[in-house]
Amino acid sequence: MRRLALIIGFVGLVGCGPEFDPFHLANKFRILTIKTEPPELVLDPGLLTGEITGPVTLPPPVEMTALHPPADGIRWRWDVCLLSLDSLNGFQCVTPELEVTLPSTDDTATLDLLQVLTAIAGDFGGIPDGMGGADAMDGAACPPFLALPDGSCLGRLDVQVKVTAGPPGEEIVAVRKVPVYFDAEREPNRNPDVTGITVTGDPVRGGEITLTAELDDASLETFVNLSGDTRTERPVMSWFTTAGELQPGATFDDDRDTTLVLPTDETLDTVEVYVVVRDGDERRGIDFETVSITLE
Amino acid sequence: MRNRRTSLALLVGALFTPGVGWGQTPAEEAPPAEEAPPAEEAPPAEEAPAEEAVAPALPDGFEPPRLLQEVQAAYPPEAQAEKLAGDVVLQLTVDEEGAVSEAAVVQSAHPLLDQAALEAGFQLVFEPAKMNGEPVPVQLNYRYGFTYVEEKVEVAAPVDEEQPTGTLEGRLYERGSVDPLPGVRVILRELELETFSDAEGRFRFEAVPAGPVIIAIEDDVYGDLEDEEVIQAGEAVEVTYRLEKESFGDRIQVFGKRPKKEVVRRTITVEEIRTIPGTNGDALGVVQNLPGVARTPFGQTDLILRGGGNTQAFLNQQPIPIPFHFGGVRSTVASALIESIDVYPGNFDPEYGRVSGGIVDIRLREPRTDRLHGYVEADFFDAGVLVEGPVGDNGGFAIALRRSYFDVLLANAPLPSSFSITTAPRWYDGQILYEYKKGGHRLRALAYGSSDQFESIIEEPPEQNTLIRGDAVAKLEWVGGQVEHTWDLDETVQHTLNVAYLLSGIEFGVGEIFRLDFLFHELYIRDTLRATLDDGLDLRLGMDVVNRWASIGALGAATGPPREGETGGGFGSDETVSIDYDDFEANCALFGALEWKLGPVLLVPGVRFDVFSTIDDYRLQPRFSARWEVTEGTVVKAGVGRYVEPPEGQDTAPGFGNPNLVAEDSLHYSVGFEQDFTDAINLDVSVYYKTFDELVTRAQSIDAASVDPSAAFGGTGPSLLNQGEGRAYGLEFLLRHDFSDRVFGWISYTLQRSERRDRPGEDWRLFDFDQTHNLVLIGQYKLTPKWSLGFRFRVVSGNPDTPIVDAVFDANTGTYVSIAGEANSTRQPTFNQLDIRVDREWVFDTWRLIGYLDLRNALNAANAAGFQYNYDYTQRTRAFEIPIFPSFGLRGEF
Repeated sequence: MRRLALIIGFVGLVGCGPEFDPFHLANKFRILTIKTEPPELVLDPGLLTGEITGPVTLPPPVEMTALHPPADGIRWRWDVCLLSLDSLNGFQCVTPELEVTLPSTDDTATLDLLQVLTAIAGDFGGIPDGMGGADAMDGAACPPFLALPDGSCLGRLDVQVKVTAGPPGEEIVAVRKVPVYFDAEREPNRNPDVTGITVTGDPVRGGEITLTAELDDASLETFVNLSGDTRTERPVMSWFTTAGELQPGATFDDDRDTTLVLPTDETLDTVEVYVVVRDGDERRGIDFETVSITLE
Repeated sequence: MRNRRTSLALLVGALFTPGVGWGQTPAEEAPPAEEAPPAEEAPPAEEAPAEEAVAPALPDGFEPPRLLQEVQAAYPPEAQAEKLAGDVVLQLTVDEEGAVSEAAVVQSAHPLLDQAALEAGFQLVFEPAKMNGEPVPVQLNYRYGFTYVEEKVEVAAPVDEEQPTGTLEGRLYERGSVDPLPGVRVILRELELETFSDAEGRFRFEAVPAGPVIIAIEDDVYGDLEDEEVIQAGEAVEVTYRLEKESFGDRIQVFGKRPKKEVVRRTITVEEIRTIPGTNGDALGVVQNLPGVARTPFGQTDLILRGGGNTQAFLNQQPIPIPFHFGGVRSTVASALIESIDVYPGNFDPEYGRVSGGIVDIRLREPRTDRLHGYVEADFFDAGVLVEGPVGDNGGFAIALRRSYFDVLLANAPLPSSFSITTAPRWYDGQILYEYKKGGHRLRALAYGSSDQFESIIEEPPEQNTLIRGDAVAKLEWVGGQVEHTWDLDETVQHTLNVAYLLSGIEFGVGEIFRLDFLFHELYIRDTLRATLDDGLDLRLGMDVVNRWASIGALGAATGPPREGETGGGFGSDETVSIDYDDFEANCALFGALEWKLGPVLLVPGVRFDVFSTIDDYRLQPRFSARWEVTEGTVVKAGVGRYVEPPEGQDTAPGFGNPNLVAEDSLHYSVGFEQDFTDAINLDVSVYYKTFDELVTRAQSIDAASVDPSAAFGGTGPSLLNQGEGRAYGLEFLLRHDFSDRVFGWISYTLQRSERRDRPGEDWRLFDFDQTHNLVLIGQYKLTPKWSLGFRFRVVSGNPDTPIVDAVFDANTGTYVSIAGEANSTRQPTFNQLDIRVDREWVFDTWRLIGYLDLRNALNAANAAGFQYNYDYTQRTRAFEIPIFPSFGLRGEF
């Protein structure tokens, strides 16, 4: 309680920040997002317990793409971990046995969950200490890594995908969690659908152009949020540019326009612009689009 | 017309039993002592005749007590009607500190006069009696004489029987405070008449020849005054003079020092609280200037004593839920109602428990009951009002209210369109105090509460964290009351029962991503019995109970708050917090302590037994302290004890913490000495060592069987375990000049080291507030009665810091998450700050106005407060604490 009071005490103490490069300026190699298609999986728990009683739909492979500014000489590595620690602990995988490396060497990869589970089950000889004793869940046994001490099972597993990319010695790390729900009845979330970026205005050096994210509103779903309320997804658009200045760098809901102040640098011929669209709040759906602006 | 006179006090006999505490042999069994000289400043006129005193056979080396602060007994108005007069002889027990600890009537005049004498007697202050140079408690007889004077006090000798005469009467008040001035000399020189004002400041001359007369008033402190009045034949001329203080006396103000029995108890008086620079007169803000208390950066509110462990703030021995308002600028209890603050940095008494850090005990003063008093004050942060006065014959009340006005100021301030404030940071607090005293009973009822609130709407979140949008709410509120009854059953037994109820709530929300609601109902019961078993042997027994009903809810995207030693975390992360549970806990403790005086040695063995229902844990905590008065003014002291602290509520919450946690354990050791150089200057040096065991820290592996995977991997982070340990050791030095008429100040220095080991096998790391050196210099000097100048200078080692060595991009939220390096492996630069305060007083007839300028960081030192980073933590720049910051304040009081 005292610690909380301390945190709250800071709420009002927001000061002016120093002049750093803005978040929207993608002027170096970085990962702007990782899109997974689909964004989450639903798995019949019977697949794990072996107690399948009817027809089962196998989870589709998850196609993953890392969005980044153009760069040469990048090495890519994709790892998947079934149980990872939280952000306070750097997203580390709980044990190496729960982690596998995917066969990919570029900015895309495919996650086949059943294949990963099979691989891990093959490597993973026992139950981690303290993870419980595979007690029953509705009469069925939990897989070891999902069992809780009270006999129940975790209802959701956040499979973590870790991307390590960059020139040798300068790698950066990005993570994406793919929720796997052990609930055959759940309607899985879908990614929003952004179909393009409309450019309005003449792209002259030093001038301004307007960028509009073309988002299919039909892709915005209704869902029940953490509080139990039914809501419609509130899209968030994060804009990035390899040069110039975006005003603003993020737009929300129906406000899908931003202004790009183009650079005056004569050595630049083109500017790459990206929009990453999230379906907002605690939803994890993502889509992105790219447009290349040729400077006049 | 009231004609009465209260005689001055006169010491008529001192009966002593050196080396024996209160409860000693009754006075009549001892021979009468020699007559002590009356206090120099006492008005000598018309005193009741002193009884013949026969000098006793004083033992060699004995020095009788000497009166330092005389207090005249007020002549009760009811006595006037009955024309009461007579002598009341009190038997006073004067302790080693010179305070009157006991008073009893041994010669009665009338119940009304007895009561008046008793009330005055308790306020007398002596230089203690000494045996071979060492202070000793004594009993002595002290007489108050009450004289009923029906008519004039001074009658001029008739110059001419035919000459018409009149009466001159008047009253003397202190200008500003309107307090009556007793003992001031009033002279009619031409008539060779003089008198002294009585306890109510009255004087009277009769049969003064008609015509002009020069009235002269002479006083060392209030200066001289001459005035001319015309006496009308057969009439009474009434005059009123308001005298203004013009100089200082040499008197040291003694604020009822209580005898020490703890190893370390440091007391701050209200006078010190009001004027220490850099604190805006805030009570708890002053605490950080004492040795053993860590400096916290501007805006933080933690009280960290002797290298850690929680510290509990008490108000009249019951906990305050939230001691500070937002940002730590102001404490939630009005400073003007505080008599003093006792700070126990360690080795505290068994009466206190459930924390392993220290204790800050705020003692409220009694309401003033002579008439209606009050003040209105305002400064940069807030404004407050206080009213106090009598209720009936035996009661008094005080009401204090305060409100900040940031919200009013910000309502008209230009803000970015992306950010609108619904309710700016604002706070309220208030206290209503009622006290009733009669006979051996004292009843004190207190209602109090505090409210902090902040609400804003974030229209356009920052682009590097787009999850935080919508309304942001922070509310901290508590309200409650306590009733305390103290009953002196006889001279040797006192019983105190204090019952307090508190309702407190916390509401916190960040957009639609995180909500937190805490609600607590708390009932505190503290029952204490103090008894004198024998000469020099006192016993305290008690019970300390807290019943807490808690409703805790938290939901949203957030990590748990970072724990001590951790960095990072926050709202809008990809983790999910989900807590919703109600809980009841009944924590009960029994405590007992003996105070055993063996000549110059005081031994205080004690024990406390705590039961914690929620965690199903109980602990026995033996504690022991000793003080040895080696020579006059020199005390050697030592203490050792066990202290237990239960985990905080959220740490045991199912699904968030670990319900299987047990209490944290700590051992305190300390030794030291105290040296009084003069009545006002004293030195206190202590060294201490503390250990911590079973500290609650975050699990980072799943090897331990008690880890709850639902907490570890359900999104809120690993669970918690009792696996940490810690140690803290240091030296504390306090050289202090107590508050006097003219000067006060202190030099406080702490040398310390505090370390933690979070998990078995890991290396020791520094505690978050490990401050190797902490030097505080405070001084305040009254240049004139109206101007005073003060300063505070602090040099403190920078706090340990954890470097950020990397960052991971979290694609789910589109934000970067910092990766911390070795915990607290670097240190912020040394902090230094000079604060200056100037006070000016304007005195009007019936009220006073005090204005001050408090200039914080007068040298505009650039004190580092960590780093600010860019979005991916590849760039950083230093952040600094507040630059030079002037603050003004005004206070009008009557």
